Amino acid sequence: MFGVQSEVDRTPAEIDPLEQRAIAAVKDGNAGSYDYLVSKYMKRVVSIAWGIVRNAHDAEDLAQEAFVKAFQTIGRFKPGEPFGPWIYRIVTNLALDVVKHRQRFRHEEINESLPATRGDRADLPAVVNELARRIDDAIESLPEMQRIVARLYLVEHFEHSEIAAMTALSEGTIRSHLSLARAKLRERLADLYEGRHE
Amino acid sequence: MSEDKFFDRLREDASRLRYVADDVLWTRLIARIRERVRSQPSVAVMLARWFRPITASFVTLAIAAALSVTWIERHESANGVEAMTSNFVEITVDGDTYNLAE
Repeated sequence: MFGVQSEVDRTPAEIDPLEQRAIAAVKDGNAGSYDYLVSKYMKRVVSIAWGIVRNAHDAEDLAQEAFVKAFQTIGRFKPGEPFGPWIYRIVTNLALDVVKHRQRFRHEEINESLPATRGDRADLPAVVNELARRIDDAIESLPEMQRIVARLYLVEHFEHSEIAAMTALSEGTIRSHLSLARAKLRERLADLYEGRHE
Repeated sequence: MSEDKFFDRLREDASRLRYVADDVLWTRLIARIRERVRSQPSVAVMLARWFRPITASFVTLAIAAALSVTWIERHESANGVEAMTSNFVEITVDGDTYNLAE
């Protein structure tokens, strides 16, 4: 479940001529050309969804929904723009809707004094290196929006402006969430980082 | 360690938390999306879906209107014949009145 993906799909989106050709073909009614876009972005889209909803099945379903939604509305997609930020924004919005729905459901169904069980621990692999597990636990212990923003920044390596576009929040709000998250994470991971990496 | 340095280190280490799965999952997901995308209706089909009920409504209205007009026309012509047969026709010549029905 955890692993290191190639850095190729982590670099900021650049204009890919094949991608632009695929988008144009899909707009012209060639659904087969959509395969290129799905193959290129699928892994990262699922990773973003999983980071937010923390459930593998939900993340896969959300990725499917995001790609189908993007396909249905591709006519509105501006030519010359990279596809990545658009599909990331769609999947983030869908995943945030799931989180909001869960919060509402939890609010109605469960006594608020009980601790929130947000993460689906069954999705965590049996053997994960201790450092990764500690970081994961620390991120998961953050309040909801700090957790989501921290995950997009720390795990997915998105920049502030990209996270702002994906979550429809201002860059200032993203910085504020990250600043609060950083203070809490530093405190919770003090034994791992203080002195060791100096 | 400065705040920024701590966060940079954490960011580096946290990249291990990205979701990865085996190729079977990706292949399955891509196939499912392909299937859903290809079953999406084209613009022509969507327009047809919109226009079909509208066309059906218009056709129903047109048939109803035609039947109504036919019925009214028949009814009126029947009344006309009845009126013609039931009305007396009187002709007056040099002060004398003749009734054709008589």
